[in-house]
Amino acid sequence: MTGRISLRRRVSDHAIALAIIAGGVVVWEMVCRFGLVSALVLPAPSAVIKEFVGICNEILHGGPLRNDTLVTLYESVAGFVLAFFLAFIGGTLIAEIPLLRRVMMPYLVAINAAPKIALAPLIVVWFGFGTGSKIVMAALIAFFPLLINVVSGLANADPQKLKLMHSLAASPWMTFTKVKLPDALPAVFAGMKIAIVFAVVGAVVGEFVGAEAGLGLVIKRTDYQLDVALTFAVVALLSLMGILLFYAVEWSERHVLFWTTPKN
Amino acid sequence: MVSGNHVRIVARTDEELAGAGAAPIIEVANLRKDYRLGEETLVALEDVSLSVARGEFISLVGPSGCGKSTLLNIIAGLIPKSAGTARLAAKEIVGPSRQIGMMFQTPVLLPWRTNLENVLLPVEVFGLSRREYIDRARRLLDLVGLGPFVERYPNELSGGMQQRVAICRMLLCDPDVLLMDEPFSALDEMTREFLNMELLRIWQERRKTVVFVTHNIGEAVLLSDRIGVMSVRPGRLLQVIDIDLPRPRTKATLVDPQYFRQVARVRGLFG
Repeated sequence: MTGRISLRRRVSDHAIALAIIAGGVVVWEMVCRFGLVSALVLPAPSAVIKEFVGICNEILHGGPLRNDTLVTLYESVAGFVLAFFLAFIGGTLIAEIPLLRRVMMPYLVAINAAPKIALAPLIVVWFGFGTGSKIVMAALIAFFPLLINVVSGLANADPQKLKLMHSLAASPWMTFTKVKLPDALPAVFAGMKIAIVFAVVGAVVGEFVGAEAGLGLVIKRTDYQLDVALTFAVVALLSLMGILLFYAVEWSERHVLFWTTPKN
Repeated sequence: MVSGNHVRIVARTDEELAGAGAAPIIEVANLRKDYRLGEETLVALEDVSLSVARGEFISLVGPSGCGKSTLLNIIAGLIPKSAGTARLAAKEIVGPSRQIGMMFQTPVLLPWRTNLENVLLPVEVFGLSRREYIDRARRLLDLVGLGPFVERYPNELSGGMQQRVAICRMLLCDPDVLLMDEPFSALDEMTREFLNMELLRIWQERRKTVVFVTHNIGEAVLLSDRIGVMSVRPGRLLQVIDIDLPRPRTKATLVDPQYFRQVARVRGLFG
């Protein structure tokens, strides 16, 4: 009974959201149709959709955009994975060694506050125009939310569970593997969901600075050519990529953290 | 060689004597616990002395803040004492011991493990063979009526059922001493009574030494051989009184006039 009511509510919530978005799109289309804004500045939604369908077709049929999409996807995922391993190792050391935590935390907060995107030109100089610099850029931006969540997840393990392990005279390693690590996973996944989206941003910013391929490069090119509708379509494609990656992380979260959704 | 053998034989005889109840398994004398709160010192326990015999069921009752949990945690080796002595099986307590099984106010189950795996946790922590204990773990869960739930997860169980899993985990490695820190206080009255009966049944079979912390006088009278009554600020052991109710105790005990008299006697001590 309650399930049906909540389902009905969910459907109606989605309907309201769609109506608001559709209303916005209609207004936008009108503004462009009546020539209130030049198509060179703001293309009509219909034009963007046409371009979007076009690039999707091109990707499916193996056009040059397929390569650009795969390059950006590869850079984002590789950067994310690199950041994950570094943040996991670094976060574990910081959380488990009190001295390191005390000494390092203020600096990490300071580095986290620095605008890492501003480093993109330097990173490209250091790591070249290939995918390497984009992977580093994606990893750099994805690293901090992961690190902070690994540290806080490990540091905020349930004191009751730690007391239980203490009462069993468990070794630090036992306590880490049997309690702290699984207890930290919800926080780690929360960090991963932020980081995967950040990684795409990092890869695209890296491509803006200088690249041989990738959707960031495509945006720069279409921008020069004043093909604003195509630029919008590529941005939409990047959003789609971010959303899909986000849901991939969420999907794995649901399967790994099976105990956080009560079955009772 | 001969004298070495002789010494060993004497030592073993002493152990046997202790096993027969000649020496208390828990000995606490002139125990003191202070907590430092900035400039101030809070005295949690002052001059507490208590001996617990092997196989005895003793409860500690008192208002919140009387230090009954602190005393239990010192015996468990979880927190250090400030002064005095605390011994377990004639050895000074310096840290947690595998001779002790513990239960807390909440079940503290690991939600990512099945109920069976939760019961097996001590075996893994102690580095023992899972295979040797898995049948025992199943039997224990069966004993408390959770046979059908061994492969389920804790979040599929009610609070009372979760505490029963915690009982099994506590008993798995056959500890000599059970330390229970208000284990049933978060449960509803019916569930608590049911688990009191379960605990009595298990204790009747195994005769473990139990130190049971509670603020429920009725529960303490029902379960215990002796009750240590504690006072607050500073935490002191006011009196240890014997509960002369026949065993085995059952649901019938709860309606026995003798039971009510004992409850009234303990209640009277709190004024």
